[in-house]
Amino acid sequence: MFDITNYVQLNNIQKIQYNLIRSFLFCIFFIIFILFIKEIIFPTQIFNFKNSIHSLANTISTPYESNDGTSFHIFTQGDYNKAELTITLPKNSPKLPQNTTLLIKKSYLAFLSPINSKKYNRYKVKTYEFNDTQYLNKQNELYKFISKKAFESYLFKNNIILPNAPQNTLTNNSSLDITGFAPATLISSKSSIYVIDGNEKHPIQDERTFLTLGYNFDNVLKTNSEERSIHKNAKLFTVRSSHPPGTLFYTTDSNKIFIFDNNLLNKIPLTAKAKQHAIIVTETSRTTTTHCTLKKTIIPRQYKCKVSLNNISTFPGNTYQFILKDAPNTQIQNSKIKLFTTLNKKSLQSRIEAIKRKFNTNYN
Amino acid sequence: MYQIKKLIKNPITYKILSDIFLILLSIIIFFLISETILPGLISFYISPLTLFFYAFSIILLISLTAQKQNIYTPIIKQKKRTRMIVSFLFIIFVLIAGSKYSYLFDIIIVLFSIIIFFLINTLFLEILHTKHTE
Repeated sequence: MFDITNYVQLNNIQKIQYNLIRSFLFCIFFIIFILFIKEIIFPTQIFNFKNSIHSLANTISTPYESNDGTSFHIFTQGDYNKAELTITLPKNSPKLPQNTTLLIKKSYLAFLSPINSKKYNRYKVKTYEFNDTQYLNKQNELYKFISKKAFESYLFKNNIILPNAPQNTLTNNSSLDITGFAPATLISSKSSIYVIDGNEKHPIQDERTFLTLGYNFDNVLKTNSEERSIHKNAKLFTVRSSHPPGTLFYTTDSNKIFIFDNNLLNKIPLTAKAKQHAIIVTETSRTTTTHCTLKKTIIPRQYKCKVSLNNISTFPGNTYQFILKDAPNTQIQNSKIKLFTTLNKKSLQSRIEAIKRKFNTNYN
Repeated sequence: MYQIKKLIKNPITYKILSDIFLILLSIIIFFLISETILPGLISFYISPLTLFFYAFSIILLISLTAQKQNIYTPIIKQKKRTRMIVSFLFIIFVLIAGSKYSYLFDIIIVLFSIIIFFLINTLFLEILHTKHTE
């Protein structure tokens, strides 16, 4: 074997000892190298939460109460087949009930919101048109649209064509407020795509984020700088962002349209236009869960469980929601979630595509 | 303590440490090539700081054991071909790393890197030579 220290002489016994140790060392190195290559090709994604820090460093959301129990969620872009959760409760906190079940759902965070049981009409707007100028009625006040594109971005409008110009526009035309695009509209400049969030617009981080969030390039409106200037620039829209109010969801399995508003999902009548602009989801993803039973570890107040994600991994969405069933108001000190990829052809292909994408982004 | 002293004075320790250093060196080369081609591919998993910390720790241990065992590393004169290959790779690495910037900036960075590399190399050989002749 190749020896870089042949100037150091050993006796026969030492030579045997050295060769044994050396072979062992190279074997260990080889195993670690193979495991490392496996980790690069089939990565494990780790998410953390520490109650002691309140910062963006926490990749798991702060626990919150949902109908089923204490919940938290993570955002991810990849496809994973297995999850491992470890939670540690704070000192002096009550123990978790025995055999506490952990439920996991996968979808978009906005689509996992509760469904509004009340009648919802806020999605409909009243618009007026006179001499190729369009106006929006907001709480009985008229606002002039910045462009026809902005007017057309409202999908659910009751448009009235006026024979004469509206009164207040004639008397006070110069001070008439201008309005922009409908909430959750996708607009583009030469270099970016933005999503409208009220008076703001969020630039979408990259193509992968755009697709991960379920958006469609056919629904992007090309705009000029004047049209965009109505909406202030807001923070970057990443895979960790939730869809803004006004986002439409179309369920392929139950043929329904929902609009996200006020942290609730509101069912609205299905129209061809709404379906075209909606994000594709499946209604079963709201109810289908995968589960495991949390087991106590040797570390005090620590619980762990490992679960297969196969029955939910195919659902569209960037969010995994974890629910501690029948364990409301659980205080969590630390939590850690590991997502694993199974070694198969599909995951290999998706990883190679991700590396290719990274290469293309780097060398443009 | 006696066991540690005995271990330090064992020539096998020196040879094994040198082998570990060789492995670390090959990891560093793999790291540098991967990071030049696709930044973040490896550094996402291993911090370069950790890698170099281990490498320098091993160098220190090798130096300590060599001193205790009175081993002097022979200075091997670099072959011209090896030097050419290393220099070529070095220039390619710096050129690729600077490919995002303007060509002029890239060339200036390459020239500066060559000068710094040459100065460090001269200094390193000088120290090694002085130590060897002492």
